[in-house]
Amino acid sequence: MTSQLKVDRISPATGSEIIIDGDEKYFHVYKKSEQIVENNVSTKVVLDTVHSDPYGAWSSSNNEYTIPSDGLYMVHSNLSAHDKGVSQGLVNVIVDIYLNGSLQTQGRNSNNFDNSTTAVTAPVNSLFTNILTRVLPLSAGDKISWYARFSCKYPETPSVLFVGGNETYHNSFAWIYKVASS
Amino acid sequence: MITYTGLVQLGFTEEDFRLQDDSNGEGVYISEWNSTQTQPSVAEIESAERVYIAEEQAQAEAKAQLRTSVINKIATNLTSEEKAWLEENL
Repeated sequence: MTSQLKVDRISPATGSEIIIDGDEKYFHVYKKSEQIVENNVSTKVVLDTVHSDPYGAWSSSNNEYTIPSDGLYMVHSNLSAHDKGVSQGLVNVIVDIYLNGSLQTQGRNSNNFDNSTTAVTAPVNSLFTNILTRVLPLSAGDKISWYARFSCKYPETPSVLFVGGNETYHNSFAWIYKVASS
Repeated sequence: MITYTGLVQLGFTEEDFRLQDDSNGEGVYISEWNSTQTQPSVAEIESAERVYIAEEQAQAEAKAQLRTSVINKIATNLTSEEKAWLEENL
């Protein structure tokens, strides 16, 4: 026997009612080209290829997404960074979600390699994938973008890069999905 | 160009500043300045960056010379094949 419970509203004993009207339309953008990033510079991530943008809310010139309607949103990014095959001692990858031009939330990867390493013996071909997912209450017109910062112990100039991908393999990508109206 | 290493070479720490690039072609700029000292000019940062690069190169050359010296001293009793192996693995 199967049973099914269908609801579109949940009213807790205390607190706000949640309206369940998750949108099957999702936004998904990814990176095809690689992007050089200087050491310890918080750099706006260029996501150059749109996979799905049903509301036409992505600005490719500003690399930011304009929220189409009020609600609770899941905001996700998966960004891969590489040291260009040079022994730069890639220590940290920090990814920021920016809301309306200001830092909203942050995710960090750290590589705790031995501090006694030198520029010659530091790990080479280091690849970091920073995965950051947050659920955020957002309003129509809010603007979401991503910034990233890399720290290298032995930086080259230019420093590390974001890894691009292709139609099949999205090494660096982001998506935004509306979970519910709130 | 404003660089992290240029500012560190001038004696500032990571807590003193924040560098940002909005990927709009305008390049790197100082988005936060927390030091009590006066913010240096771009020319001062670039000059310090050149000093940093020169010091790094000098250190790398000194290490390479030391390595060569060590190998040559050890290699006095080695065959050419053994010396080649040493150079490859040291």
